[in-house]
Parts: sequence; C-alpha cells; structure tokens
Amino acid sequence: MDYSERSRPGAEVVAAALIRAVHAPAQLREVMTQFWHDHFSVNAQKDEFCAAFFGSYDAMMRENAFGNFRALLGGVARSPAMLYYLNNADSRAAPANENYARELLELHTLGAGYYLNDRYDDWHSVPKGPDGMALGNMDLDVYEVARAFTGWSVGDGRYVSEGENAAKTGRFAYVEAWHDPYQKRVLGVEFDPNRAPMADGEQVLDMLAAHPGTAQFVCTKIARRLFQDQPDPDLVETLAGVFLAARDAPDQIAQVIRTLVLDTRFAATPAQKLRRPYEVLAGLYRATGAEVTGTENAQQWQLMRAGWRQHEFGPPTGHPDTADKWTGASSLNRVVDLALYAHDGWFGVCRVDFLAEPGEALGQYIARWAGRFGATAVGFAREMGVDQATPMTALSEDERNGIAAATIAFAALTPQFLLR
Amino acid sequence: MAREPILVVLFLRGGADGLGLVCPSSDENLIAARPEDLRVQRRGDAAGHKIAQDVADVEFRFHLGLKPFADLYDAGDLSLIHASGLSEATRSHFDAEARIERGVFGSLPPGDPSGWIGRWLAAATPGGPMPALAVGAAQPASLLGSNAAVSESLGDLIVASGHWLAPAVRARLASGFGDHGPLKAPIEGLLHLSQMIGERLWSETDQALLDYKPSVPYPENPLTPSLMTVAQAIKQDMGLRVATVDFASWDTHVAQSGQFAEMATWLAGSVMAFWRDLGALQQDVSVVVMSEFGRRLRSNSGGGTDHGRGNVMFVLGPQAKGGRMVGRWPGLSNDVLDEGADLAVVTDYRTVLSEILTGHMGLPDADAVFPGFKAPPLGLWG
Repeated sequence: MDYSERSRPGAEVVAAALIRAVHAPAQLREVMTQFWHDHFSVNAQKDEFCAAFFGSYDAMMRENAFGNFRALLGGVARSPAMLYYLNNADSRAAPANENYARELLELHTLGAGYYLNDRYDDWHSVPKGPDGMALGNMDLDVYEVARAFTGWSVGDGRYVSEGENAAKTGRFAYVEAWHDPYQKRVLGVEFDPNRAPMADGEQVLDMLAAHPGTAQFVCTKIARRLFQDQPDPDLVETLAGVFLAARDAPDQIAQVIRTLVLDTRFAATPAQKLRRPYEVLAGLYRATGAEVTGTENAQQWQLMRAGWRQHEFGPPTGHPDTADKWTGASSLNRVVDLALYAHDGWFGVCRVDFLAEPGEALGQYIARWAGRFGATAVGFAREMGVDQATPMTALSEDERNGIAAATIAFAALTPQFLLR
Repeated sequence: MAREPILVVLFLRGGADGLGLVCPSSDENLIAARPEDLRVQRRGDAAGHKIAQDVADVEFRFHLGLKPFADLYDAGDLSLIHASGLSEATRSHFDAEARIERGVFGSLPPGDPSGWIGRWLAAATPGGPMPALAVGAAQPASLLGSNAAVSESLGDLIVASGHWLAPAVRARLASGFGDHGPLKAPIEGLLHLSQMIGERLWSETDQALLDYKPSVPYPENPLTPSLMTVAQAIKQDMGLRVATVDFASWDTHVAQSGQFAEMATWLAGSVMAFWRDLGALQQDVSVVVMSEFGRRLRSNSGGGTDHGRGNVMFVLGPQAKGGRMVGRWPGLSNDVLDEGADLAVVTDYRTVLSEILTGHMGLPDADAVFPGFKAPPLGLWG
C-alpha cells in the first residue's frame, strides 16, 4: 500500500481538528482535547504506525478530555500510537528501552520540577511524603519504571521469540516473555518479583496519578492553557487540591476546570493570553463565518512556518504555551500572513462568501466585516486607498474579495483579536 | 570586507551519540558493549578515518559520514573535545538543554531569565542591525534576555511581502499595539528587521526576493537551509555576531545505525559546504557543534542507545589551534563510567564556550557570561 494511504488516518485527524476547532458547538472540549494532545504528544507522522493508530488515539483524548486523569494515563500507556512513538512497543528485558519511562515521569506526570537527579547522590536519601512515595524521581527511578513497562507492546504480528509471533489484533498486547519480572523499587516503593501480568506498570501509573507532584504539574498546565501564562501559585495549589481529592471521580478534570473558571480572578483578569498560530487561524474562520471543509491540510504548511505543527510536533513536549515562544519575528510574521491570506482561494481550506448586501456602499461593506471582529473600521478605507461612497456593485469579484481580505487583516492584527 | 568575530552555535537536539561520531574504536569495553553497527569499523572499506591525537592510548576514528570533518581536522581547522558536556547529572533532554542554554546552576540570582548568549550580548553590546539570529521557528533558551531575530530564512522576515497593502499593514502594526506588553516589542522588532532586510533583499523591479546564490553547492538535507541562511546573513554584512542553528532528531532509542549514519553525513556535508561558502570570511567565524548529552555506552535490546552523559564537542575556525583533540579522555572501563553506565563528563561545556568567547569573540572575561565558573584552560586559543 502507498505510504500516503498508510499515513492517511493521521492526516484525517489533522483535517478534522481544524474543522472541529471552527465548527464544533462544544469548544471547551476541543480546547481540552488539544491540550491533552500536547500533554501526551505523539507525532502522528513519525511513521506509518503512529499515523495508522492516530484516529483511535484522538478518540481516546476527546472522550476523556474532562474525565479521570488515571483513566487517561492508562489509555495513553496502552495506546499503540504512544507505544510506537516513544518506542515502548520494542522494550524488553534487557536492557529496557527508557524512552517512554522517562517521558512518562517528566512530561506526562511529575514534570521536570520533580526530577531530582542532581540534588541527591543516592535514591535512598530522597525524602518521602506522607503517602510513602519519594518526593521526586532520580535516573534510577527511570530505569526501574522502564523495567516495569517491558513487554507493554502492540499486537502487530511482531516476532516475539523462535516460533512465536504476537497476534495481529491492532491493539495493545502484553508480551509476557519480554517482561522483566524481578523486584523493583519505584519512588521509594518496593515491588515484589514475579507479579501478575502488567501489575508492575499498573502500579506505577496508580502511584504517579496520585502523586502531589503530578497534581501540581498538570494543574499548572491547565491553568496556563485556560487562564494565563504564569498562574498564581495559590490558585494552582487550590486546583491541585481538587485534583487529588477527586482522583477517583469520573469527572476529575472537569472538577478542576470548574474550580478554575469559578475563581473570582478568572473573570476579573483582562485578556492577556496570546492566541497561538492555530488559534489565530481557527479564530479568523469563526469570526468571518467561513465554512472549513478542507481535507487536504493545505493550512499545515503555513502553520508549520509559524512554528505550529498540528499533531506533528517533533519533540514529545507538545506545543509550548507561553507568549514568548510565539513572538519570534518569523512566527509573528506568519500570523500576519494568516490574517492576509487565510480566506484566499489558494489556501484551499475554507469556503466563504464575501457577497455585498443589496445597495451596500464600500464603507458599509468594510464596517460590516470589521464588525464581525468587534472592530470599528476607522481609517480602513482611507488606508486602502478607496472611496467609502463607491457602490459595491461597481467592484469586480476580485476587487471585492481583496477589500474583504484587507478588512480582515486590519481587524485581526490588533491586540483585541490576538489576545484573549 | 572583514567582519567582527562571529560565532555559530550548532546544536544537535536529542542527544547525539558522541561515541558513534568520534569512536574510541579499539576500546575493548566499547567492543564488548555494542554490536558492530554501533561502532566505527577499523578495517576494510567501512573503516573510519583515524584521528591523529595524543590524548589517549586508544585509537579514535571519525564516523564514515563525518569524512568532511576528518578533512577539516587534518587541515588544522577543526578541534574536538571528547568526554565533555554538562557537569550536573541529568539525562533528561529538556533539563539538560535548559541547563546548558541558561548556563546558570545557582550562580545567577534565582529567577534571572537570561541565557548564556543573551548575557554575552548584554556584555558586548554589539551594534549593527542584526547582531543575533536564531535560525528556526522559536528562540532557544541560550538567547533569553536578547531580542534576536528568529527565522528560518531572511526573506521570511519581510512583512506582507509583495502584498498590495504592505505599507498600510506595516503602518497599522507600527501604531496598533500601543501599550500591549507581550506584543509591542516583538512587533517593533519584526518591523525593524523587515525594513532592514527588505532594503537589501527585496527587488522592487521584480517584486520578488533576491535568491541567495552560494559560492559552492550545498548538499540537499534538512540542515542545509539553516546554514545557508547564516551564510547569507554573514555575507550581507548585517552586523551578525552570533547565530544559533538547531539540527534535530538525534534521539536514537531504536535501530540507530542507519538513521545515525544519514544524520552524520548530513551534518558534516552541510557544515563543509557552509565553510567553503564563507571563503575569506572563514577568518572571522567560529562554529561550535554541541548536544545536550551523549548516549549510553551499552546499546539497548532494540538496536538503539538510551540517554547518556559525556559527549564530543567540535570547534571549527582557523583562529583556534585546530587539528587536535584536546581535554582528557577518562576511558570506558566500568570503574570510570558515570554511574557505571556512561562516558563521564571530564570537561565542562562552559570551558569550551568560555575559550571561544575570550579567544575568538574578544570578551575580556568570561565571568560576565558564566559567573563564578572557573576551569583550567584547554588551550584551544593562544
């Protein structure tokens, strides 16, 4: 089968993501789905395996976007897309492949702030919290976690041992023969040798989902996404408390978000969060009412030049979420291009009708399109070098579309549109 | 025609396998720990170029793909420092990169947001329209505290390039962001670069960007466009003093050998083309090649290597005393490995950068960039 055909599932999710970001009625779910995609980032086009399984990965993110973190973490750990992306599908004793184990600790749960490798010489000296778990992790924990996940693989017919191949299920598969069964020590907690299948990995996920460091890290990121770049530590503390108290609840994440948006600071703080290039593009289409129908992902190239790689971010960190990462000169300049060209035919992403209303003059036409962005069109016509009194019927279709695109650019390249 | 001294920092993201780039190919510990395809061969057609050095008894060979580096080494233009890197024990990409690029470690006031190149810019206050350029979509942490131009190509910085409304869009951007903190300064910076580059690279007659015409052909690979941007900026005389270039995908956890050979070939081929392209301007340029850490001595069960510690750094530039391997080689026996697993770091990366800053860039004292850091000199310069 042709490579483009094998990688099509990944490309389809990319196309669907933009359609949903513009048209989905439940936008918070889209925002949180994107958030989890960046938190548990998988490059859908790393290879055809990641691409082939990316549809089910996306469905799992969307379904659990407001749900329980432990369920989400477990879903990710068993998802073929992640198992391929961070190489755990190949990890067997011994030596284990450490790629997934390290990012599980550093990106998915505890975060870099709880990586204590240079602060203690010996893992026995890392203090323990009241829950019996070490306060943070060392490289030795990474090695142990990697051992715990040996054998967590994919049922893709792969060679297991002489005369034995994994079943072709297209799902998570546990390969007992690859698992390192002996005793382990993770975050100061000792595991017995020879436990039941997958018990080692499941206990690691249980511990990490319940760790205060995870609550702190995940809640900081949620507040950063929905509220501000540097959220108030008090507020994060409150959210982390909700996260831990609700850790067995099916709506754990929703409870955290509810606490955040009901906080008085949330409504009282003026708009200061920078729209990232993808959000600029979706915001432009929502404002103009353009119908996004594209399935060929023509937008992806222009977004990549702005630093945004929808579902194709290279490093496993996902897209950054602070303004300073998006205000580089070239990245900003691509945002200018998006404003100028997003509705152009060559972009091929959307259908939009820039028809004038009967009897409309140029000035009224400009004011109407600017109004969709909440902007007043002061000076627009003069700066475009056109006469406001000209009847729209006097313009060719190309001239009319040019005026519309210029109006959109003028209205969108403003603090009111670029900050939210 | 000469330029003020220029530094190019080429960062191999993901942790390049230094033991594979410059391989202690005769070391029995290495031979025991790695399959043949993760070592440089000593005999036959696939043998790597052996390095003349007086640092260690073991023989070192360049990876086959680094043949151009071997040529530069033999010509006395390239030095290498093995077993170098971050002194702090970290095997996390992001932690290691952050520490290297910030270059701080408790020696700056907590909360100081600057990076090491940002501090050099603050200390040296270079004039000129574009003293710092980060090639790529985002600014690396080394440039924190500066207002470097961030772009994959110079033409990408011209605002509304070729659009009928370009003057009006630029005027709106210039006046529309009055007191809006996060956007005001970046937009001013963009407009300033746009004008400066537009004056040099935009043809009004053709209504198009002037193509960059290098003086030698470059190989086609992902690194070439970035290095061509740097060469163009140097030749255009924009006052460039520091450029950063990222070259990603060195995180070879599985099936390393094929991918790694290709990356090594790209690296050395593009750097060689860049170097030749500079011509006489080589006299003013140093290039340092570095990564966040090396990789594990023992390969894993998937034909790859996991995160390690010590690595090799390269310094290219005729002003450095090249053609030498400098620093110390700690060896690979179990008792001298870091945590029994990895090549140890015996030369802190700041030793190398400090010598470039003082020896090449003319900084009187590297303490302004790496406060409190002291190490015996390697003798790369003088």
